[in-house]
Amino acid sequence: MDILQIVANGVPAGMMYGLVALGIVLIHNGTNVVHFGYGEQITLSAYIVVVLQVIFHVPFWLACLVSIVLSALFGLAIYLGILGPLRRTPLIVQIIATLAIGLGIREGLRAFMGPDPWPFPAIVANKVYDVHGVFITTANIVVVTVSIAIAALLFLFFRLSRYGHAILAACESPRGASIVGISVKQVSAAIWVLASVLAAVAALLMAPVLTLSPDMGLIAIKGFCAAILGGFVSLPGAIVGGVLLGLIETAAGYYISTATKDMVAYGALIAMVIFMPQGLLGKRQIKKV
Amino acid sequence: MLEVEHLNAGYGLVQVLNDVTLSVPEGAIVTLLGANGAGKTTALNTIAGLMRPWSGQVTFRNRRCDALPAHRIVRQGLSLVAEQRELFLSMTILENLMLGAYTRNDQKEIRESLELVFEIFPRLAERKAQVARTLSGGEQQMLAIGRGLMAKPSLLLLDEPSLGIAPLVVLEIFDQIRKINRLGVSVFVVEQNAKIALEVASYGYVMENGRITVEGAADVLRSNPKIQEAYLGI
Ligand SMILES: Nc1ncnc2c1ncn2[C@@H]1O[C@H](COP(=O)(O)OP(=O)(O)OP(=O)(O)O)[C@@H](O)[C@H]1O
Ligand SMILES: [Mg+2]
Repeated sequence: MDILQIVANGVPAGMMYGLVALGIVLIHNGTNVVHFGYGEQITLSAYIVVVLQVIFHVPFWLACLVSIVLSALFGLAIYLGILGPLRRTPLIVQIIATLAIGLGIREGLRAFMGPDPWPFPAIVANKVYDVHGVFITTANIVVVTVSIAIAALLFLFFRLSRYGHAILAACESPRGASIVGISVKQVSAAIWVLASVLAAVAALLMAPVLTLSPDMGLIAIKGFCAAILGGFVSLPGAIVGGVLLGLIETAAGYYISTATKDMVAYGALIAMVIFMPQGLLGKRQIKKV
Repeated sequence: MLEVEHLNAGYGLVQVLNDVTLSVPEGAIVTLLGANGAGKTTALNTIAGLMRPWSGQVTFRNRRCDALPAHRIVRQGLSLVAEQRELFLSMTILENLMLGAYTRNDQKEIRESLELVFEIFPRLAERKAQVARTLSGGEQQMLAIGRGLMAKPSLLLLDEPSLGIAPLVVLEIFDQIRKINRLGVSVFVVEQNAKIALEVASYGYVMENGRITVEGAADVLRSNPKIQEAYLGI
């Protein structure tokens, strides 16, 4: 019974980490950059929904839609305005640029929206179901369903569509892609847009569950852990890593204490890096999907 | 079909190509010979749009293309088979070939090109579900050429197709290059293996330190004592 409850709580938490990891891995595969501002992009999307809804009285669903579109445009702007022009600079410069983007968003939000948490509406009315003694919340059901749907869509896109193939090709050999007629710049822009749309969707799922404050983006650390557990190059690995992290955390919270759950999770991460540096799906994975 | 005039190019501040002028007539096989580091790859990459020239001009089928990026130049009908091959190693032969046809839309014509490539290199057909990383060097070269053909080019640029490949397979590949040419594709091939290159080509250029120093019909070059000594080991 305990085990089932741990799964019921750990899997949704892990799916959220996996979703964050997906965006991070996408950007890393496509541009070699580790995006340290990704968590803040998520926070920003959540705030956009709140601003539209609370201040401009836009209906919730429309606010979500606008937030997704704005996030996509913001991702494009990051690429066109910052990381595209920095393309030929040393990687460390680009990574620090992402860190700066993140800090800029976080402190900007603190300045304009205040340091205190904002209430974020749930996507569906929150109910708790009692399934033979295991408690399942609607929020968690939504998280799992949406995450699986997104993972499946991405999988189909990369495996079956021509454009998905082109993105994989450009990730693997930018020169090879150029000489078959793929615009590598367009692919990079597409990856930024895609990852930013994912950030907005993650925001809608997370903000009702977590606390929406300027620091919500720190959740991305868990996303990085999930990505590393999954090998950092594979998209299915990101989800698997996320779920594993969610389960470890929840189990630690249950059997030891809630206070230790982060410690145990990071401990597992360090053990992983030492004993299985290629990650769960890192090396065996033939395809970088 | 391809005219290169007074091309200068290089990396950073280092100039490599120095006033390179050459041309490839329609339907011909032309070769560019030269020792290691002469600048042959630099020339080919500049023509294919992977690098921007510093000055000079490249004209392909009467259209300037020296300001175009590589992915636009393919669409004009000029396909590069790079020295490093630049295959998509984690993908299968078939996936690599289909990506070669990325610029094209007519599925029926793409099928025809695929069949043609499989006819030219039957070994690719036998292994079409095999991942490119696990192919031998010779097979990878065949795949690189096949992928180049999938764009349906009118001019194929080949950068040292003999590189790192067993002599017997080199002969096979050059036989197929002849065949590709007979199908109406002009070929510009960079080689260090001057012997075989001058056998299949009708015209040749020799590059030294980024300059074209000698040019002429292939049989004239073959009997040129300087070339015999420097490149043919006679
Ligand atoms: N990416 C680069 N950055 C700086 N210099 C380069 C680069 N690539 C090549 N060079 C230099 O340019 C010169 C010409 O190189 P290139 O590769 O064009 O020669 P090549 O004739 O193709 O030689 P090989 O037969 O060995 O392939 C060499 O001196 C080389 O060191
Ligand atoms: Mg070379």
